[in-house]
Formats: sequence, C-alpha cells, structure tokens
Amino acid sequence: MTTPLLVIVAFVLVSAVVGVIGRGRGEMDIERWAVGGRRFGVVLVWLLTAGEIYTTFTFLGASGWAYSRGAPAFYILAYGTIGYIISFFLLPPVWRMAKRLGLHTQPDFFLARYDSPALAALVVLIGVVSIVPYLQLQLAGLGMIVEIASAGAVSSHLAIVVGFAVTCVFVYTSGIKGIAWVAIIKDVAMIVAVVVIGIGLPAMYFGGVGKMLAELIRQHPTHLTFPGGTTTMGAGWVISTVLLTGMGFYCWPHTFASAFSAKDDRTLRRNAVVMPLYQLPILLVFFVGFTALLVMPGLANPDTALLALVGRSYPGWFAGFVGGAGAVTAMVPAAMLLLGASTLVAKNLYRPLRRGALSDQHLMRASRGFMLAIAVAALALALWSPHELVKLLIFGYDGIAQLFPGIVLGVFVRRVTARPVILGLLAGVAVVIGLIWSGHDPFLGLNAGFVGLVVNATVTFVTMAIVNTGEPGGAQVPGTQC
Amino acid sequence: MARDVPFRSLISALIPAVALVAGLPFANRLQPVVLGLPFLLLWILGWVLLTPVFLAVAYLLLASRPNRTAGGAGR
Repeated sequence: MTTPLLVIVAFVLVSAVVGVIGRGRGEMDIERWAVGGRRFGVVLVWLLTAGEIYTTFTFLGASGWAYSRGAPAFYILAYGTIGYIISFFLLPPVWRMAKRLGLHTQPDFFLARYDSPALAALVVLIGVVSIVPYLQLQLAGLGMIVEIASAGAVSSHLAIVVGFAVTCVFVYTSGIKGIAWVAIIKDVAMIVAVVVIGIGLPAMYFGGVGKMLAELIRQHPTHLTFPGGTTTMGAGWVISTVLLTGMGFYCWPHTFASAFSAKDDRTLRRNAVVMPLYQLPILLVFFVGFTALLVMPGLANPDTALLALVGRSYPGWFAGFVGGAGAVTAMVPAAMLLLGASTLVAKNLYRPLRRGALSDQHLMRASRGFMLAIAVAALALALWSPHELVKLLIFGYDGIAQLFPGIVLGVFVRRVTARPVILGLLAGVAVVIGLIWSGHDPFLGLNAGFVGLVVNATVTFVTMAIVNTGEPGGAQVPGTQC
Repeated sequence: MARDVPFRSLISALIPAVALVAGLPFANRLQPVVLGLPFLLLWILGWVLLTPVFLAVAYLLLASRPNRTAGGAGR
C-alpha cells in the first residue's frame, strides 16, 4: 500500500468511528435515523447545512473546471451568493408557514400550500431524480481519489465501487446525527487543505498567486475571460447558469428543509448575511486548478488536476491528508443526500400510495430499501455514464431549480393554485430533457436548465391567468395567509 | 411581501445580486489587474465580499421598522 492510501484509509476509519460514536445509543426508528429525532441544537443544524456546501464538486470539480474551462468556472464563486440573497427574503416566510402548519419536508410544504397530492408526488420525483447526478458526482470523486492514491493499482471502475461500498456502510452505521459530527471533521480538514495548497502551490512553482496569474495570462491570454477554454460558455451562459443555480440553491429538498429546523426566522436572515463569506475557499481552489494547468498541462481527466498536482508536489503523508479530506468531503454529502432522498420517497411517496397505516418499522425498512435503490442508480451512472463533475451538478440544478416558481408563488402570491404549477413544472422538465438529449445545451448561448425555467414560469403564469378568469377570485387554498 | 419587507431593505439586498450578474458582460476583461487578480475575477470576488455588507444594511433596515422586529410576523 502506498503512503497516501494508508493515510486516506486511516482518515476514513477515524471518521467512521466518530460517526458511530456520534450517533448515540438507543433504538433506531425512521425519525431518529433520518432527522435525528428532531431535537437538533442550533450548532448541529448549522453543521448539517454547512456539511452540504462543500462537496467533491467544490474540491475536485471547481479545480477541474478552472483547469479545463477557465473563466466559466467563476460561476461557482458567484451562485451561492445569489442563493443567499434570495434566501434572505424567501426562507423567513417559508419558516413561518412551516411552523404554523407543522411541516417537516419539502413535499409537505407543497401539499399544505397547494392541497394537491399529485403535485407533492411530482416534487418528490423531481427531487430524487435531481439528486441522483449529485450523488453520482460524489461517487465519481471518491473513485478518482482511490484510483490516484493507489497509483493506478485499483482501476477506476473498481475504485468507484469501493467508494460506493464505503458510503453505504457509513450511512448504515452512523445515521444522520453521526454524520453531522463527521461534517465537522470534514469542513475543518477541507478548509485546512484548501488554504495550504491554494496558497502553497502557486508559491511553490511561481513565487506567489499574483505571479502565477501573470504567467497564466501570458501563456493562455483567453483563459481568464469568458468563454475561457470553451467555445460555447460566453457571458450569456454564465449569467443564465448563475441565475439558474442561484434560484435552485434553496430548492433542494435538504437545503429547503434546513429552513424548517432554524430556531426563528431572524436566524435565517442572519445566516444569509454571513454565509457568502463561506464561499471564499472556492477562490483558492481555482488557484490550484490554474497552477495545475501551467505545471502539468494535458491531463486526460481535468477533474484529477488537484489530486495529481498535490501528489506531485507534496510528501506522501500530506497528499494522503488531502485525499482523506477529499474522501470525507464526498462521503458526508453523499450520505446526507442518500438519507434525505430515501426518507422523502418513503414518507411522501410510498406512505401516501399505501394509504393504510404503516408501522414505523415498515417505513424504516422501506426507507433503507429506497436508499439502496437510489445509491445503485447513482453507482450505475457513475460506472457507465461518466461526466465532468461540474456538469453533473449542473444537470441536478437543471431539474431542481424547476421547483423555484412553485415555491416563490406559493409563498408570495395567494391566488396561485396547483394546476398552473404542475403544468409549468412538466413543461420546464420536458424542455430541459429535450434540449439536453438532443445536444442543444447550451441553447442560444444560454444554459438549457435556465431555458426550461423560463418556459416553466411562462406556462405557470399563462395558465394562472386562464384559471383565474375561469374561477373568479381564484380558489381559496389553505396555508396562504402568511 | 411588499408589506413584509420595506422597499429600501429590498433594494439594498438586491444591489449586489443585480450588479454582480448584470455587470458580467462589461467586466469580461483582463485589465486592469488589481492585486494580481484579472478584472473579471476581481469583479465577482468584490461583489461576493460586498454582499454581506449590503445584506447587513438590509437586515438593519428591517430591524429598525417602527413597530415590528426583523422578520417578525407583524400582521
């Protein structure tokens, strides 16, 4: 075993032990397994939210795009900020509605607001399908770490399977409370690693970040403006992608539900004020990607740029530390996404479909079954339909951001009913799938997901106008008095 | 929403979002390089750093409403 691989294995084992200890004692039922028994303190809730901000996407994906695409990668620095600004206005009323009506999940919100089981089921489906590429991204990242750390002794396919197995064992042994504690290790290790290599690597090869950027501009004069190393990702693509992903930021089932667990609505606004600063390490990740482009150009897989450059520049133990941080950075979000998605399917799709009362054990078993099914879907895609890591998250956003009109209108416009939202969702999703499968992404220089979102909103508004003329005054819907 | 969030608070929070995004086509250039950063990267980074300032102002404007607390259900 190579030194880096040894350090990575030790890192992952320590994290798993913390997860098992952190989960606490007692019987595991579905509430406890999935939402920690709803007794999380503020710190733990914050960790769960922050635990999903830094993923393999930020670590390997952002450096990979900085390496291969250049300036279009800058959207990654911008979109979280747009998401937080939107959350400043959107989350407090969502929180008040959730508190008054006792909501726990995103489909709960749609069901309570629109009184439509069909819409709630559609929301579950879109949520889970969008989460699959997000999960695939984490598994692919884990696979790269294992493959590179083993110096090629483990093939990439086997490495992805290993990553999948480790993640599944991690979820089964830890539960969400244990994972929340591992998220602390993850964020600390990740930030230490990024600061050290983001400042250290440009200094090591060029004597500083400024000199590295000057050299980059000299060798690749078009890399740091749009469309960078691409032909299709001009300012229009970046703007539409920032808007799409910024609006989608709080549409994920897990980010949306984070609003429910806050102590009060003021906490949500205060979070929005400071959170943009938590994006800054992304800048350092870009610097690593740029340095890699200058030092080792022509990598077959740009997503490995960070790992390859670290392996070449640092002693084995430190490369192992970075790999270990990367592995946990993939495992924690993957585990959280899996738990969230499977619980959603069990509680908001399976239970309503079965109608009759289900025991907690039954629901728990069902939830674990769905978890395995979702994980296997992500594994299959990782093995047989590989994509760039950043592209995978954009696929996820193409889907999940379609929920944005239904959420915003549901919160702020009293007369909106279920039908316009359902039609808008279907139209938006159809456009997105059509454009991507027919190879028209970007479409007219715009992100296909954004085009879908525009169609979605248009269909929603037009149907709303028609429905409202048909039913004078609009239907009265529960949950709109906010 | 209009009643819930005062206009000035809304404007303050939206300034960084609109400036960051709408400015991208005009900021899409290398020069001037400031602190070693090409202008496009500086533009994005600058607005990310300024956003907490604008949001803090928006928060204070909300909090200073005469008979409501920030974000409180005041109706």
